[in-house]
Order: sequence, then structure tokens, then C-alpha cells
Amino acid sequence: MDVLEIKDLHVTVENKEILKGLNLTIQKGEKVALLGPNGHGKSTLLNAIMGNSRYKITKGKILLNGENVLEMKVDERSRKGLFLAFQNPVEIPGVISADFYKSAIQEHSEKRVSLYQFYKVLDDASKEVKIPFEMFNRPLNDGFSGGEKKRNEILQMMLLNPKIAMLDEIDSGLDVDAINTVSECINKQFNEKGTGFLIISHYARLFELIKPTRSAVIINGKVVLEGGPEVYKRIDKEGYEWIKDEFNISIENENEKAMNQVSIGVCATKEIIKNEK
Amino acid sequence: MKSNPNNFISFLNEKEQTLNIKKGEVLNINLVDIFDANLDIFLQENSVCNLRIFYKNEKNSLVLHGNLTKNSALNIYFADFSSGDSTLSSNVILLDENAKSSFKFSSLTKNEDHKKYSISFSHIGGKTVSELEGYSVNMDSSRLKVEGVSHIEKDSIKSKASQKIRSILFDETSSAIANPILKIDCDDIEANHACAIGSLNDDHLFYLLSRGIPLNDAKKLITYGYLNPIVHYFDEDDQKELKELIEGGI
Repeated sequence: MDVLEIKDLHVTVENKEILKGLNLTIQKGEKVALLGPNGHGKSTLLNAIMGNSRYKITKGKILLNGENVLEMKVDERSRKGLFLAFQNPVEIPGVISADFYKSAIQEHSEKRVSLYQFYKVLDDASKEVKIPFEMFNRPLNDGFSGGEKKRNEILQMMLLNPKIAMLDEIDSGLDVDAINTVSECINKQFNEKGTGFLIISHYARLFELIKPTRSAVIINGKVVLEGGPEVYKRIDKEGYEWIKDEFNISIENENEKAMNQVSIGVCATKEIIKNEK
Repeated sequence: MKSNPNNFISFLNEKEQTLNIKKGEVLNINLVDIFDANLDIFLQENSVCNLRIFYKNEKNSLVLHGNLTKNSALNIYFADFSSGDSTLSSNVILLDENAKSSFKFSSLTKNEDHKKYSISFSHIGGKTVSELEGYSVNMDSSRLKVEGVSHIEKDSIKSKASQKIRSILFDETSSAIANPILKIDCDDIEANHACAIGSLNDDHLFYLLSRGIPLNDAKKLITYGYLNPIVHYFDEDDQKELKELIEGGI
């Protein structure tokens, strides 16, 4: 039984503590809806689990089937079975999508993956997510619409077949048809492969289609409430105020961006002589 | 210059060379390893020249001048994977209406090499089009300098100019300077320029790593992606060699 355990996790971003002792467990055969007000740590949790170096873990444990995830490099975490579908997938100029997928699939396979095998799985997956096969000859996400980028994330999830898939607002920017397509893919992955899911969304529409088995609510950097589907349904109707009242929790406001965090774009010639690293 | 029946020229045999491409003619030129040469190309109406320049050994330098008349096109593809210092200077004048020119380059600089490119377009005729697009990867105390100037003169209405230069600095010791400059003396035109120089993008790396690709392979994928687009403009034999140089170089 695949299980991801997060224990007393503390995470800082740019010297500000975002997660403050978070506990959560996700098992195979579970679809966990992860909810919470903006800025309370949902995306931070997913990035910390995947190993984004911007998120500093100051205390706590993350275990995948008992193994210490924090000692693993990012690529190793992926090969062990963790997957993160990004909220804003990056465009990588020049890196041809098909070449990238083949490298990724090969890294997840102990045997050599033949070209025939590769194109077969890619063709099958492209039909599932309804992305034209020709698009995979283009640079990764380059020129893709917002919806195509999100479906491309789901395609990669299907290709890599993870034990635990973390989806960060996979439904944002999707039209109704695309949400249906993505939901069908998630349900298929869940039913046929038994992948465990941790899913962030602000909209009940996705949850109605994929029917999470459990809900977890992050407020002030901690999971303050876990329950069944009734929790996300009530949040959809009433927001988070009832949690504040019933559990006597003061919800911290998302800090407004300080002016020194705002960058002003300048159209000008850049001369950077030395690499900053 | 040696020419074959398929309008194909493979090398320069004099240091000062002038080439007159006749009305309606299409000419392909492949130049490999040029030392201290000057090439002047005159394109008559409706003619096309595809010029592929491949620096692969030591000490290359070429000075190129292009003069384009009505409806003619000069497409320059430049792959610099040479070792040692190299220079290239290209000055293209778009004299008459609908003349078009592009300059696309990929460059790998390493081993303390100094490379310098000067690429300019002068728009004189109306509805003329120029495009500069270049990618470079720099490492091992090497230095690259790229000057790109597109000048749209005052009667060159409805002309278009674009400039895009991107460089990756692979380590702390390498450096790159790029100056994409637009000089515009006409109101009714379209122009844009972009330049980015920096280390490997952390977000790009994290994305590839998160799919299970090891760090060194992820770096190779990104840098290969920078340099590879030039390859398909070259002939099959050169493509193979270019790919080997890219893969071997990074």
C-alpha cells in the first residue's frame, strides 16, 4: 500500500514561515481534496513535497512508503512515484516535447523503452487528453494555450504513472469540455492504476466530477480540518467562515505584496557579465 | 567560388568575392570555415539567396555585405561551433520594396574563446522586413559579444524589424554581451527587440527534474534546445556533424 506521510512540516519561503507544523497522510486509493484560503500554504505544501529549492524545510518529515523523501533529490522523488502537476507549467524553448517525454519515460523504466513502445503510449495518452499528436513535435508548452498546458500536465501524469499525484489547480483556465476531459483522465488513472491524489482546487465543478474521497483544509499553515466529501461541499456553499466560528480559528489575511517584491519590467538591453550563481 | 548545376556554391576561393544573383534566380551557398574573407552579394529583383555559414574549426572570420533589390530575399544561417576566436560581420541593405532578410545563429563558446558578431540591417525601401534571431551557450571562461543594429530609415514605411537574442551562461567564468539596437526614423513601421542573458533557468530545471530527469541530463536538454533549432536549416551532411558538435560540446 503506497502511502505519503507528512509529519509536523515547517516550511519557509523567503524567510517567512508558511507551513507551521502540518500533518497529512495520503494513501493509494484516496483522492484528497486540499482546500484553504489563498496564501495559507496549499501550493507551498506541494512544492515542498516535490523538492522545489525555493521552499526551505526547517522541521518535520515527509515519508513515501517509509522512505525519507527529504533526503532524495527532485528527480529521485519523481522516480520513486511522486508527481506534481504545476499550477503554471513553464514553457521551455527549444526542448521538443516528444524528446522530453521519452527521456522522462525512460528514466522511470528499468528496461530500455523502444521507439515503438514510446510512440504507442504517447499516442494513446494524447487521445485521452485530446491533444493533437503533432503538438509534441513543438517545444515544451511553447505556444500552448492555458488549457493545453494543463492537459499536457495530465498527459505527463499518465505517461509516468505515479504512486501519488499532486495536482495544483489543474482546473484553472479550463473550459467546460476540458474540465470534463481532465476529470475523466484523473478518474481513469485512479480506477485503473490506483494512484493516490492530492488535489488543490477552488471550484466545486472539478470535485463534483472526480468525487474526492476525503477533504483536508489548510489554514494558517496547518491542516485544521479533515473529513469526507461533505467538507468541500460545505466550503463551496459557505466559504471558510464557519470553520473560523466552529473551530475557533482566527484566519490570517494573505499579506499584501510589499512594494519591494514587485518587479518592474524594463525593455532594454541587458548586459549581465557574470552568472549570479 | 565553385558552383554546381544545382545553383549551389560550396566555398570561397578568393578573399574578396562579389556575387551577383540574377533576376528570379535562387542560389544556395554553404560556407564552411572561412578565414579573413569578404563576400559581397547583390540580389536582383525576385531573387533568393540562402547562405549557410558553418564555423567548425579554428580562427574563422568573414565580412559579409548584402544589397537587396525589389522582392528579393537573403536568408543567412550561421552555426558557430568553432574552437578559438572567431568573428563575423554582416551588413544587409534592404534597398527596395518588399526586400526581406533574416539572420539566424547558434553559437557555442568555450575554452576561453572570444567570439564577436556584428549584424546590421538598413531598411531603405518600403515594406522591407528584417529578422535577427540568435541563441548561444557560453562556458569555460569564454566571451561572446553580439551587436545587432536594425535601422529603419525615414522613407521605409510599413517595414518590419525584429531582434531576439538569448544566451545561457553555463558557469561563473563565462560572459556574454548583447546589444540589440533599433534605430527608427519612420513612423509607420513595426519593430520589436528582446534579449536575455543568464544562467540556466531554475524553473525550467525544476520542471525537468520533477519528471525524473537527472540534473546533468536536464541541463543538456535545455542547452541542446537552445542550439539545435539552427540544425534543420543545413544540409544533411552538415546536420549530422552539427548535432555531434552540439552533443559533444555540452
